[in-house]
Amino acid sequence: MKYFFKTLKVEFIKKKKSGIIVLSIIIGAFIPIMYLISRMYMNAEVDKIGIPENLYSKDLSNVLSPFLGFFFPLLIILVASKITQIDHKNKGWNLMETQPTSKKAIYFSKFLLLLISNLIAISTFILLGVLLSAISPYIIDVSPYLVKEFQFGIFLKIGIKIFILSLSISAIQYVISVKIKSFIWPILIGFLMMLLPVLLSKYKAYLFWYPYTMLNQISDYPRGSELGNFFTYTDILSILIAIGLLYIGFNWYRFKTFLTAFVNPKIKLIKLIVVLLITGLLITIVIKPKHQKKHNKTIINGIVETDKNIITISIHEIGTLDTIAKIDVVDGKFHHEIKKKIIPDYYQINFESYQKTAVFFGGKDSLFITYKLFGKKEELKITGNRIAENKKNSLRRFRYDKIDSYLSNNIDIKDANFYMKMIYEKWQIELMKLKSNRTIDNIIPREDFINRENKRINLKYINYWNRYKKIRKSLYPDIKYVVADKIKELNTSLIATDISMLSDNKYFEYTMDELIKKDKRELSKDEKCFDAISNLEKGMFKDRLMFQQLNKSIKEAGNKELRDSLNKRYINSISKKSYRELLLKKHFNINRLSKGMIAPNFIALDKNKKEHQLIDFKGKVVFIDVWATWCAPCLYESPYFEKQALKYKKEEVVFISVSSDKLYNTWLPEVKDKGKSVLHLHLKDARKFASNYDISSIPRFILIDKKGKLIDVNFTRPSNKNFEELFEKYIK
Amino acid sequence: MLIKLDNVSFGYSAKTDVLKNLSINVPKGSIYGFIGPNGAGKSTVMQLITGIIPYNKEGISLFEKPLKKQIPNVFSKIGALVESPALYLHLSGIDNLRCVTTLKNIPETKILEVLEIVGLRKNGNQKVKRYSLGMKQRLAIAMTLLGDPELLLLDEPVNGLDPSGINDIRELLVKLNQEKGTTIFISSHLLDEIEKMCTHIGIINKGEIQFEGTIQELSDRESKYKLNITTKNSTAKKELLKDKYNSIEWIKENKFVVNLDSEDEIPLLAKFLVQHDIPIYELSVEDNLEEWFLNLTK
Repeated sequence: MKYFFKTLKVEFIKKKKSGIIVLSIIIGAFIPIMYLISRMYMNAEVDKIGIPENLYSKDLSNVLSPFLGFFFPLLIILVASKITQIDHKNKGWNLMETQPTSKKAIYFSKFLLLLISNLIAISTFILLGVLLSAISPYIIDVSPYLVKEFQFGIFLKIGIKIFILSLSISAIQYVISVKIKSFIWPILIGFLMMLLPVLLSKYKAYLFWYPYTMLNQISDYPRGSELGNFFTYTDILSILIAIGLLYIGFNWYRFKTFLTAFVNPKIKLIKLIVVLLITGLLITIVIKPKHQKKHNKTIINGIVETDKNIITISIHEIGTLDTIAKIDVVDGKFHHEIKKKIIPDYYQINFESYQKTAVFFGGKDSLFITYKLFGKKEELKITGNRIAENKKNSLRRFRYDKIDSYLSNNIDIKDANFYMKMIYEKWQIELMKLKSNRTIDNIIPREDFINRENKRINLKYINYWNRYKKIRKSLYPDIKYVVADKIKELNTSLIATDISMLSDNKYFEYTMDELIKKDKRELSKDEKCFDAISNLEKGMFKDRLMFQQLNKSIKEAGNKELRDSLNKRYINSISKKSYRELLLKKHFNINRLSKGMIAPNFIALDKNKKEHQLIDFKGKVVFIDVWATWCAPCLYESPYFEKQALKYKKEEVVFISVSSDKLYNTWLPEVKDKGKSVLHLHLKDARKFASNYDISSIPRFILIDKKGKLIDVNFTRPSNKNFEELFEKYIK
Repeated sequence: MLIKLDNVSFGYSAKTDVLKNLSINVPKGSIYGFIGPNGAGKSTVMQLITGIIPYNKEGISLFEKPLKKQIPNVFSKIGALVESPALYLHLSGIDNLRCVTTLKNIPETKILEVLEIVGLRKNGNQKVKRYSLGMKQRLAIAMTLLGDPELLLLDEPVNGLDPSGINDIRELLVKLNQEKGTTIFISSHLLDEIEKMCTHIGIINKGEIQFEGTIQELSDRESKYKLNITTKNSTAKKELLKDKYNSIEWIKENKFVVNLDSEDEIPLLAKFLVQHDIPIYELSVEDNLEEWFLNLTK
């Protein structure tokens, strides 16, 4: 210690005029300034309504990624090289080592200088970012819903976390820069290491433990741990990596060559091995993924923040849409205990008609759901003890799918081996990737989820293989090929009677295909399916299959007679009462809203608060667009709807756009300036309208004939190319 | 002994030894010239003495104590210049000196004193980048002088200096040695550059010590004196000379060389020539140390 301070003082003398501090400030300031300037010049229109976030946090989260992903690592690389060059270039190491100070002090005071430069950059970045956020409302338009309260703690925490995660990168760069005398090589190596995750992502490898990846991860999790811990495993990992590297780096520097540092005499080798083993062991402990424990009850709770009026949340079985729970929202909060047995699976959670989302959970799980909806902006976050399972999996996002594209274009169909190899390899990669996915708290999904996802992946690739076989059969029916063992392994990886998979529509189809595979009778596929399901053993699996099959057939049936006879024949083979009730209700609604039935009346107000009713339009064809101001796909359809209205202006057709918005006043400003070709109405009782017309999602288009009878309650969208052809059949 | 190396062997790799059983003894108060051609191992010895290269075995001691145990505190008594010049070119002369005063806990007022000594007082605030080679060399020496060291270790300190610069340094070092009793260990690849100021000489070649001793011992070692004499019209006296001096060798018509056994024979030779009417146009004693050194280090 007595050497350390004076050596640090000397480092400060030496760094004079080297521009390190200025560089740190410039790099720290660059992104926040660019962010503000870009917003000044883009002059983007801001939304008036949105999720009330913190102004400062929002701005910070926008600038974190470029700073952490590129500029800050760049600074570390440059400064590490710069401060070691001061001594490499001038042979300063020899000078320093022949002064009354220890090598430890020389080595670590320089490292400290690097850390000080990091701190300067981080503080500049955060403080300037906050300052610019604070003045931004005076310079540019800022969304009015943003909260302008400054929370110091959040920024301090982010600053500390960036600093801790920069330790490992700094250590790597410093060790390299001290050992390699050239100026350019450490920088090149640094760049290469910085870009490595990008290069490797092409090969679908995600190195969660890699220092550069860990640093950049802060921009994905600016709030840090989802469990409320201050430190996450990445912080500890970064410190451990830094300690291990600095131990090696310092001894290497102290004894000049690797051999004298770690091999001769043997005691040093033993010391090295011990240090490596201990850090290795600690790292293994830290990166070992954790599972979340089960709860003693099945609890669904959470909060809803919205400018709409959401009073109930419902949970449904996917596939049947059977209701598992209906939960009241009181003061924006909800809490419910599910007493029924729950199979671990995806379940659909409905926030009335605003949002439907699939959430994974099972019995004895406690989910905390945060849903925010303001204007057209929404946010959904699931915590509790199924965080990892419900983490938005970036790997599942749409990507170019080679197999799909090859099959679609019939490329190389003749080469069975090529397809077998490709399908097997991609299958294995996807299975592997499933396990590599972890949260910021190092939590990986529990076994049941992995199993469920495994089956989904198996199914995906079995389907590819089946698709291939089908194409192959039609193109090269006579050329034989041998099915490889790997493909046999794939084919046997899924059983056809897995109840936990029935929420997956593709699995339902797969199961049905498997069940009727041996049925060579001259019958329609539906008939074969009904027969096969009827022959199954009584139970949940049969109920689900029958439900889904019957539901599908009733929907597809063209007339009431067929629907009624199907229902009569099969509904009693379902043992579960709620399923039967659901089907009967659906059946009833389909019949009630089928072609030729009287359209349910409704009352609505126009822009001038004048009341209109559906029956007022008798004598004209009525085409209704059901929409809401918060619904983006509806807004996409509106111009098409208007265009058609103009086109058929002279015909006996009324184009009505009814809004299901809760409040008249949220609706009015949106339609105030619209033309007269479309009649804009605001529903007086939107709930009743939705139940009358069995509306579970919008946009919805309803066509009613001149006598007030339904033509179609779910008519094709105006954006459809064939719209006019279909439409004109009914208006003349 | 202020510096003592006792049978030190050292190699950068296991197979080849750069230094072989090397022993060096530098007495207190001496100016020890450490001489050898480039690549003989001078810098390696310098780095071992300063601990820049860690030496694990026993055998090196400074101030009568093993070196290993004294690093780094011993450097408060040492001024070292290894691989000259180690200077921070982007800093001013004063800032360079300030680095040393900070590390040695010396008051900064000393900075001007040493600048004065090496004659750089006016250039203290200039960036070292702008210094001439000689100025850099002098600044580097100034850095070693800070803190009144008991021992100066100077690796090729006069390298690249002009003759007057070399002379200045020589005078400075001799003065330090005489006034303050500073022991100076100085290495060079040229014997005549430093021979004149040294009290002791060590000669190294190919990692081995060829000679070590006082300057007197060095002179005594080669007992013969070689004289160059230029004369005129002495062809007739050739036989006479040959009889008197067996070793005579005629180089040119009027020029010959004679080897004598002792210094005292030189005036006798002059007397002999005068007595026999042999004119002396030039009589010079050849510096045979340089020749001997070249032989040693061939």
